[in-house]
Amino acid sequence: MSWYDKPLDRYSYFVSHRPYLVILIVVILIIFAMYFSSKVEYVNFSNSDMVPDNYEVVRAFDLLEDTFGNPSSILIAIELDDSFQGYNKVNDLRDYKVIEYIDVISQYIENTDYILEVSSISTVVKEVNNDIIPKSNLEINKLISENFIFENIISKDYSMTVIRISLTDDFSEEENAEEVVFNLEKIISSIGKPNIGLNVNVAGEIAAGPIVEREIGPDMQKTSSYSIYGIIILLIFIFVAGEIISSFNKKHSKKIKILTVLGSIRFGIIPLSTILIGVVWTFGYLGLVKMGLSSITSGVISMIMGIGIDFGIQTVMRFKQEIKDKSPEKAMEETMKNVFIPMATTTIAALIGFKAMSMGELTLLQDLGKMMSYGVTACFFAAITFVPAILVVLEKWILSLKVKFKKK
Amino acid sequence: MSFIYTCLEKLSIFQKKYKYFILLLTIIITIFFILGVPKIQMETDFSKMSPSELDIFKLNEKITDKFGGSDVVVIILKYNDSFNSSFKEYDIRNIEVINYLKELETEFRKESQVNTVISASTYLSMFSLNSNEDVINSIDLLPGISDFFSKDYKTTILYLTSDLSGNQDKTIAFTEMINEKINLVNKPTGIDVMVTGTAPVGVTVLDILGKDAVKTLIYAIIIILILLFITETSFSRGFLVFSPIFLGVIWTIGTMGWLSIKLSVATVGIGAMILGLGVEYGVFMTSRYREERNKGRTQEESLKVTVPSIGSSILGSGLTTIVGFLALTFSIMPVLKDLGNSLAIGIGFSLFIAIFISPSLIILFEDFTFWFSKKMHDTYKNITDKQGRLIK
Repeated sequence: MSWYDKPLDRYSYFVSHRPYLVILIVVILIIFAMYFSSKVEYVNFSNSDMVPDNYEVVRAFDLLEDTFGNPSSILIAIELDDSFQGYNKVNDLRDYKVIEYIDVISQYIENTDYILEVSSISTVVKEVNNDIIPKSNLEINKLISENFIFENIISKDYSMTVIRISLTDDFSEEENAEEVVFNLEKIISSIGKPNIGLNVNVAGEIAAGPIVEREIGPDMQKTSSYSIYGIIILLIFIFVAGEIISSFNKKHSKKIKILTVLGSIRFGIIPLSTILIGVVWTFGYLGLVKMGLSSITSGVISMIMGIGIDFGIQTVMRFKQEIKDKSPEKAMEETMKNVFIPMATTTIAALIGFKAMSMGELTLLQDLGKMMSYGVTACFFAAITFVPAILVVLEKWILSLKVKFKKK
Repeated sequence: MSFIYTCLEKLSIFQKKYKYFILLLTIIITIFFILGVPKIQMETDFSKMSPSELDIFKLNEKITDKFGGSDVVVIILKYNDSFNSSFKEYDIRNIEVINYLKELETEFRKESQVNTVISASTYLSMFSLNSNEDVINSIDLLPGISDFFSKDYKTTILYLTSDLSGNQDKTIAFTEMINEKINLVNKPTGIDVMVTGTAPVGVTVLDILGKDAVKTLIYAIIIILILLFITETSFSRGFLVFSPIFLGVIWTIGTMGWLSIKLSVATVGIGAMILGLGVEYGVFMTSRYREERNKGRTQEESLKVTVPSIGSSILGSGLTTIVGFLALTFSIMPVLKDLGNSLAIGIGFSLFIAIFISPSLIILFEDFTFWFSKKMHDTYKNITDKQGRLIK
């Protein structure tokens, strides 16, 4: 007799004989979790965020940011549109129409929040030419060829030019990048582009952050959907396919056969509740502790699903064995007594693995480890609460239906 | 499922009969994967971790092609605080500092991998400077140059760009070259030189990745071994359960090496994760075998029960885990794809080893324990017999 036998017996009895209470508690927790999960934010991380602060390169980066503002800049790339077929198409960006257009954009940008300085072909032309943009392309060519400063602004083949936008000290990549990118996109779309064959887009490392951030949600949805489809297919193989074949071989009434098939489907579906509840609880907890999801940690849902489904399968498989010769309550009591400890051991082993990850120095690795730990723990709790309770409730209901059909 | 059950039953007979062959095969496969371990590369280029199919990354790539290097290194020159306090507030607009920047620029321009070098000195080269006053006056004439100085004139910066294309060796060499040049040129008194940017951060990440991969794996090994020693109540049995999952880790890292899957910020903890997730398969297999042996069944009979029952159940749970991980290969993030693939490979190997190799290892371990205890018993018996004869 082990020390845990007595509390385990008590818990097994509780979950088997008070299923509605257990379901109610789980539902309340789900509601709370859903509320907090709406607070989970998608966060953008910069490269230096991945490295701990105690390294000199990071200290130097922080000093640079404090002293000179954010060293990274946002760019607006203006390039020749090869697909443009109009008669007034320009083949060289050293054209006064292009420069005048860039000048208008540059002026608008300068008056936008968090913008410190704008450096573009128009600002430099004006700087070296007494604040005047020449109307002659020849003159512009001369200015550009005489000043090496243009090297950073217009490409050697004159097919691309960039507007370099420096940001103010109070600009934060995590908090303000999306707003700045949105404003720049608005300026580009609101200023009438001359019909001369130009492509104008926001670019640069900082601009990529919010764009990736926008993709996190759909990407997470895609991977978790694929994960759940794959798991459903496997669950059909594990629980449903065999039951259907054996049910149609037996000499039962049509209704009983359908009921058996439906019954086996529930065994296929119930394990899924482990991961669905587990994921909702995990997200609720992430929202509660204000832990944001980045493009890399967004993969945890699929991983949690893959790991967490095992708990549901184990509980359902054992219950299927026990229900053959026992009442639903007794079968569940036996199930819980047998699966609880192996599942707890598996959870502890997985948590050890994830804890070891958080002992690394990389902050992203630590976050991944923490999120996986929360996910696996949540799935474990879902498998020892909701899954046994719903199994007992459904089994009792199916039994009553079977009795009803047999009487008829 | 009954088909799988029958196949696994047949497998158990094979495992008992050809245990030495399976051991030999395992050793050969493991050697093959060990050879792949040193081939593993680290991913330090953050741009390679970004979803390159998005338009913005294509555009950024194009900008890099047109304007040269996307790898920016910033060298920060700052009067150190102790120097500042002893000389009151020192101004970085100093002729010595400008000459130092000029010398550094000249040194960097000699290097082919440097695309551009730019600092305040680049702009001031058009003036003839002989004193600190000359520097200050010239700076006043060029308003754009103020970007290279902090507002309090205690700090100035030098930018370098290069295109290292995320190449690990190039990044290390480039960072080493920068440090060498900085050490080569005599810096003015009281100046601190700090380096940051994509290449130095990349080298730091490389360093951390290597350390973290080893550190997280060692921590996981130690804690899981302790857990197994406690749950199995024996060191040898603890090692018996542990060895197959450890093989799983070696095979996975070896495969990553052979398939050129780089170790990145996402995959660096893969060893610890596989150990944590794969340990259950070994635990189930050994504990069920022991259960059957305790019932008085022979080795073959016990394997015939253990392999099909545990094999089919862990096959189900392992495959669902693999499916969950493989779903990540549909992500737009390259690092998530790598993470999904690597974990799926790791769990696949752990599952394969638990079903196909572990049973033979369990039998061999049992045989060895029996042989060893018999030998110990015989030795002890001989000693006591000898002692008995001597006493007589």
